[in-house]
Amino acid sequence: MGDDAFLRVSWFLLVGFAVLSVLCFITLVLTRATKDRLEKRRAVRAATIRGHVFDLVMGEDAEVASAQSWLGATRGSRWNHVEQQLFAMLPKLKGDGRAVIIGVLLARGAEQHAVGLSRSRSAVRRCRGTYRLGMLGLGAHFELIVRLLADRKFLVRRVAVRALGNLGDPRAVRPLLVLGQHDNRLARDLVFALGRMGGGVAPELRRVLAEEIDSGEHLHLDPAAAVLGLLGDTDSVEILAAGLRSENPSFAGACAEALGRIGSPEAIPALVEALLDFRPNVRAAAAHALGAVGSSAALSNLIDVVDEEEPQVSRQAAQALLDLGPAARELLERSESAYAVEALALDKIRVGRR
Amino acid sequence: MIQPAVLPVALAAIDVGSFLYWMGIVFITYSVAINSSFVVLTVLAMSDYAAYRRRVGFAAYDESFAEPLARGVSVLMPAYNEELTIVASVEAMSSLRYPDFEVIVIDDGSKDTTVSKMVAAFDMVQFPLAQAAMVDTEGEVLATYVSRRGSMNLLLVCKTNGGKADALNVGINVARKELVCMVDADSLLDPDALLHVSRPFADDPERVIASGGVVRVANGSTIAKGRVVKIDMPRKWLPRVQVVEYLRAFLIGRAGWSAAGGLLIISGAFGMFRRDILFELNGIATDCIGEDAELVVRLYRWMGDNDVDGKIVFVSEPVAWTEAPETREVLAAQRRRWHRGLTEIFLRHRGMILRPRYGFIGMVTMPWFLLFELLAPFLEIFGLVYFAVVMVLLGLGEYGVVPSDWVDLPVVLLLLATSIGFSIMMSLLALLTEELSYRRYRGIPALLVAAWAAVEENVGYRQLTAWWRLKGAVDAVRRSRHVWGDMKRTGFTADAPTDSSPAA
Repeated sequence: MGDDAFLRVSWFLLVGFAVLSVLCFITLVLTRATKDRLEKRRAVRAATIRGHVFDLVMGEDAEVASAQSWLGATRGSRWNHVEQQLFAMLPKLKGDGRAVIIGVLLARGAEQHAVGLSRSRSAVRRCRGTYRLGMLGLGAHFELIVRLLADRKFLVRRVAVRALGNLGDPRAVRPLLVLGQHDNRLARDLVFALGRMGGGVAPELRRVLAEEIDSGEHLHLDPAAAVLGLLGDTDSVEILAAGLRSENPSFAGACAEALGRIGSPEAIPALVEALLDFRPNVRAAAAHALGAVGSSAALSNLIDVVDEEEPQVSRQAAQALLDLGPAARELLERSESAYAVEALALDKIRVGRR
Repeated sequence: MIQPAVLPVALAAIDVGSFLYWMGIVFITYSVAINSSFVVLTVLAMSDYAAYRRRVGFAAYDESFAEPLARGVSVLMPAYNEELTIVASVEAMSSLRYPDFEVIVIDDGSKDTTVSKMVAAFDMVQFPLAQAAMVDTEGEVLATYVSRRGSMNLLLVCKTNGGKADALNVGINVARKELVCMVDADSLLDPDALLHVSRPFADDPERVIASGGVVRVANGSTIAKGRVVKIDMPRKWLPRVQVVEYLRAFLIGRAGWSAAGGLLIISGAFGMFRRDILFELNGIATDCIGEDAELVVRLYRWMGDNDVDGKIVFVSEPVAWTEAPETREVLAAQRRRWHRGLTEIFLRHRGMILRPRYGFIGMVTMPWFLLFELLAPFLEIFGLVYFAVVMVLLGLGEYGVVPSDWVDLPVVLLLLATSIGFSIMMSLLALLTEELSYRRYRGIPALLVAAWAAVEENVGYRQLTAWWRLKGAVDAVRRSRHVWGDMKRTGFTADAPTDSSPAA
């Protein structure tokens, strides 16, 4: 009978819920009880390892020797903990200290371990392996990490982006930007990675922008522009100035910001033109950039936008004028714009405070 | 629905046994549908947390602090008669970790010493802050102040009383940064709240237009200087049940919807928006009770109408804490208000439901909310009545007044037990999700309190909230017929409900 089947299902569900609830509860109690204790133990262990690492990196000779022998004597799962913590500490270390730790890791086979992890079936392990390869910074694994940019898991791709940043090989520029076009959640990571590679990537970034500037919607090229700005790459002024006219408002804004960071006066004509752009974010970024470039060539153009309707543009223009010397200040004082009044008042308070 | 007066007639006219049987089938179908959708949400949410746990170790989370793509944020804090807490709240707000942000307190015509307290505590001076007229406002700005301290990133705007939404609109007009973060003056933020919630804007700058985070119940925890410093479970029953309710709503409900790509609500206690988009939308609706939720629905509507490829993102990190009502009266008012807000939103934006133009939100989320959130209290109360009727008939059957085969008691009890069993399991799963992800609560006693709350909320709490919510829905329908949009604005007080509705 249908009713019987229905009752059976109900009973089945009720018993199922009850069993699952009890299991859930038991897991909860067990996790809470054990995790608290585990956490304490882990904290003690971490403190020990940290102590030895500090000894190794900046201790006296005797301390270094004792730390070395301690690290050398750790084996098995204990070493795994040490390895994991050393990798976690690496981003916070610089220079010699970093090199010492990397030396220890390499001597203990961390490289092979990381390669093995990066080929694992588990996405977590692949992430871990990729992260470690990046931290070790060995150029030999460049191809391997580039391949990981195409991993099917987003997290692995993200870690691979950052790992390439640590490697610093300019050949990574193109695959990174291509990935950014397909994967639009990586802007922040791309800026991090490209910025970390340093000045060596600038020519390649310029080449990519030059190729793209005449075609396409310039989707997800913001990181390229932002990084050129961060690098202060004066050679890219021309291409960034062309980028100001991009149809993509986000990219055009990024170009204006980058030009401001570079601060080259050659950009002024293009930035002045961008002050008349129909997109407020481009105008605001251009106003800000003109202030940052610090030339009085654009005063009259800036004072014109102090009066415009878009508040972020007016405010940026007023702020820019404030930074551009006495002539600009005079223009501001004569302006009736609320933003000019605000900028002057704030400046007065700031000066009075000193 | 059958009117009470017709009920006896109906009972006489039809075969009561089969009527009760079919009503039972309706309830069962409804609860199977709602519960299976919860299971789907849970699976989605839990896989999301699994991903979170995995990335914690190597995602280099702190680095966004120094990254150039971090955009400026204006934190808007509307305040009305908050003299007791305003200084501590602002201090906590100003010491958030973020590279470029300002705090704007908008005093909505307080009658107490909120303004003078602020001015004295933060060494504020009057100055002519420029106001854009991008969003329509009602209240008049009387004075604007800036703090002389630090990087002068604390502003105070005094305006005539116009309600919280109007205060926020004034804030949107004066905000000087690209992103706007709306915060209730009484929410307590985690130090990294801005970093967490702004991250989606940096990850995907071309598309993300709004983001929101998890709100938790602060009752029972130790609070110092506007910060939650030691987390513990409240001992009183109402807040205790609400802790579990919030965990379930945020950790399962919102995370699940967000993973599915159809998050409908960003809590008013903490949400971040692109300011230029708020200009486009003419700010926040002042004629609506759940203005925070309404804003998000309107964002979706705007995206659909203008073919904007935008994204609204939920950040699963805990970012804000709120003080949950401890008394029945305040809780009743809060729930009534929330449900009234939700109903108003659906009345106003009913045109979005089942329209493919609005994508997943229109085709899935809104119909789901309509069926399983908006109508849930009606079904719950109707179920209660049904249960009562069944019990009465059962008694009558015992005495031979009505046929005794009308009601099958074991079946009714079985169904009731199954439904309660399911809800306990869901709450425990939410607790487990928390335990395996963020683990903010410590110690076995707190766990036992939480587990007990998962059980006890089924007796009394659920029915009471259903009743209050039902009244809220009725309020909304009545209002919309008679005095739509003609609400009395009384501002908002610290003990009035915050709009951090934990609705799924």
